[in-house]
Amino acid sequence: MIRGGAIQWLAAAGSLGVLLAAALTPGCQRGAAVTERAAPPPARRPAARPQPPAPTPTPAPPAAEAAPAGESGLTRPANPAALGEGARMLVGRTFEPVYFDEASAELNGAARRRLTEYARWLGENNRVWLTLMGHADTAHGLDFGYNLAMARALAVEDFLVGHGLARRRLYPISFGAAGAGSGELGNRVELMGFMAPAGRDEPAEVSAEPQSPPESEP
Amino acid sequence: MSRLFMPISRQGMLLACLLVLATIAPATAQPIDIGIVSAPTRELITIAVTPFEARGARLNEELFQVVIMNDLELSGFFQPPRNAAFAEQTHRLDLARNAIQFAEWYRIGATHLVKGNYTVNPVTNDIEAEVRLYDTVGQRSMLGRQYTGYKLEDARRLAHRISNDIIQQITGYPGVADTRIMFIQQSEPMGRSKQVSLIDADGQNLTTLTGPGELTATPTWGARGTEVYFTTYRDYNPDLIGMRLSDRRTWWISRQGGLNISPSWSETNERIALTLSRDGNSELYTLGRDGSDMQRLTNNRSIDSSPEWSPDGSQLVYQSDRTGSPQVYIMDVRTRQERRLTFNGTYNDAPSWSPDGRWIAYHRRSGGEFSIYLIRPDGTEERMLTQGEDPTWAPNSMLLAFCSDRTDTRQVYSVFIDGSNLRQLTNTRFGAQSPAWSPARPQAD
Repeated sequence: MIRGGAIQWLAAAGSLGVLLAAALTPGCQRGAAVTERAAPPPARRPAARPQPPAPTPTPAPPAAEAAPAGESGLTRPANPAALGEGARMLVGRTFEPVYFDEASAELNGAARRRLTEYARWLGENNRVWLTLMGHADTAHGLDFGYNLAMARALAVEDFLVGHGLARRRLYPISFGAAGAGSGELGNRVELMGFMAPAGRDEPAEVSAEPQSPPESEP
Repeated sequence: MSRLFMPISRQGMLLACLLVLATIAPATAQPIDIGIVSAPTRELITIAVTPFEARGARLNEELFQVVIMNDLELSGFFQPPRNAAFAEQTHRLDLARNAIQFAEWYRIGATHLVKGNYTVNPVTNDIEAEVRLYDTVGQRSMLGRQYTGYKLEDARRLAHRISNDIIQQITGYPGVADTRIMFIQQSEPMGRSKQVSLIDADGQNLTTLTGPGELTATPTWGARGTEVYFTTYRDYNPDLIGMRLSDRRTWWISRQGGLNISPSWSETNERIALTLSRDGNSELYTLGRDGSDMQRLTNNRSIDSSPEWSPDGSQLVYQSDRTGSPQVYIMDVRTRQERRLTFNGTYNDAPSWSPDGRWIAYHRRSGGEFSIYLIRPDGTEERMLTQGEDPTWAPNSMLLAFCSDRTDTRQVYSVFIDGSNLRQLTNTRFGAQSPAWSPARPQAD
C-alpha cells in the first residue's frame, strides 16, 4: 500500500524514537546489557495462537510451573532494530505490512500470499534479519491491544519459520495500539529488514536477567 | 508534627471550651452510608472555606482556600455555598464582629465551615497552619489542628493534608487529596513518545518520570507507594522496569522475550503479577520486585492478561479471551482455581479491584464505545458507571480515575463511585492514558 511504509512506521509508531531514546536516555542500560556470547539454540515457540475454541467457562486450573527465573545467563536475542538505520537502508527494499481482520491474530489469505512472497525473497537474501512489529487498532483496550498485537507478530513469525526461515532471524515485538491508527491500518504487522553485520550469522544475545533493585524505602 | 491545639482569644472562651470537647471526642466519624444511588438524589454537604489569615508573608491567590475547597469538591462529598457573594459577606461579618456568625453561615446553606491561618518563616521557609472546622448547625467546633514541619514549597501538600483531615472528620472516609495519579502521557502525536507522568489527585503538579523520546506503557505503583513499575521499550523490547521515586534510580525487573507488561504489586505478598509472552502466548505470572522466583499462573492457548491483586493478596482479577472474547476472571492464587466473573457484554477488560475489596471496576466495549462498569466480586450488582476505559481506584475506594476521549483527546478523569462528580484531571496536548492511582501517601510530618 505504502512505498516506504517502514519509514513511515518509524516516524509514526516509535521505532526511531526508541532507537534515539535508547541512545540518548541517560542511564540507559542497553550498552551494558549487550553480550557477545555464543547464542544458545533458539527456543521453539508454540504455534500461532488459533482462534479460541467453543466456550469453556471454567477450565481446570493448571499446576504451577516451576520458576524459570533466577537462572544465570538468561538471555534473549537482540532486536535487529538495534542495528540502526544504516543496517535497514542496506536491505534495499521495504516490506508492505500484513493486515489482519478485526480482533483476529489469524493470517488471512492476503496475508499468507504476501508472506509467502516475502519468505521466498528472504530465503534468497539470508543476510536480512526482520523485526516484526505487531499492532492492534484503537478499537481495543490498551492492555488487550498489546496482547493482540503480540499474537499477530508471533503468527507472522511462525508462518515465516514454517516457510523455511530460521527463527533466530526474526524478532516479534508488540506495540499494541501505540500510534496504530484505527481500522485496517491499525490491525497490522510491519516487517522491517536489517542487514546482518559482516561475519555474524545470527543476532547477538542480550541479557534478559533482572537486576538487583535498590533498597525498598519504608 | 501535627497536634491538636487550644484556640486562643480570637474565638473566645466559649469556642475554646467547645474545641476542648471536640478534642476529647472520638477523632473519627462513622463513615457516611452513601449506598450506591443515582447521582441527583445524593445530597452533598455544603461547606464554606474562608480565606486563611496570613500571619506575616502572604501566599498567592488564597492558596489554602482555593486548594482545600477544590479538594473537598473533588472528594465527591462536598459543595460550596451556592452564593459565593453571600459567603464572602458572611466572612466579613465574622471579622467585623470577631466571632463566628453561625446562624448566618447556616442561613446561606453552609452546614460546615473551615477557618484557618498560616505563618511563613521567611528565613527558614517553614510554613505552619492552624485550622478549625465548625458545625454551623450545632454551632460547635469539630476539629482544631495545628500543622508544622512543612516547607513553603510543600504548601499545596499541606493544604491537601488539611483537606484530608476535614473529609475524614465529617464523612468518616479517609481523604485522598494528597495522593497522586500516574499515567502515560503521549508527548508527541501518533505515539512516537510516551512518558510516565504524575499529577496530584487534583490534576495539578504535573511531572514526568521518563525522558523525552522514550516509549512506555502500563505503569503501576510498587512497594509502599515509594516505587513505580512500568514497561519501557528503551532496550528494543517491552521490558518491565522499576523506579524508586526518591532518586529515580531504575532497575530491570523482567526482560523476557516478548511482552513484559501490566504489572500489579501486592504489598501483602510482596510480589508483582504481570503478563509475559515468553512462551509465545500471553500468560499470567508472578515474581518478586527483583525479578526473582517467577511463577506461572495460567497455561492455555488464549490471551490471559491485565492481572490485578485483590487487596488481601489471595486472588487475582484478570482478563482472558478463552471463550472467544475478553472477559473478566478471578483466580485463587493458592489453589489456581479460576472462575469467570462477567457474563454480560462481549468485551470486558481492564479489571481493577477496589482497595476495600467490595467492587471490581472494568471497562466494557459496546457499539465501539468503552464504558466503566462496577461489579461485586461475587458477580452481582453489575452496573455502568460512566463512559471511559482503564479504571483505577483511589485508596479510599470512593473515587475512580479512568481515561476517556469524550473531548478531542484522551484524558484522565475522576468520578465518584456513584457516577457523579465527573472531573477532568489532565489536559495534555496529545493525550493521556493508563491511569494508576497511588496508595495512601505517608504523612510528611
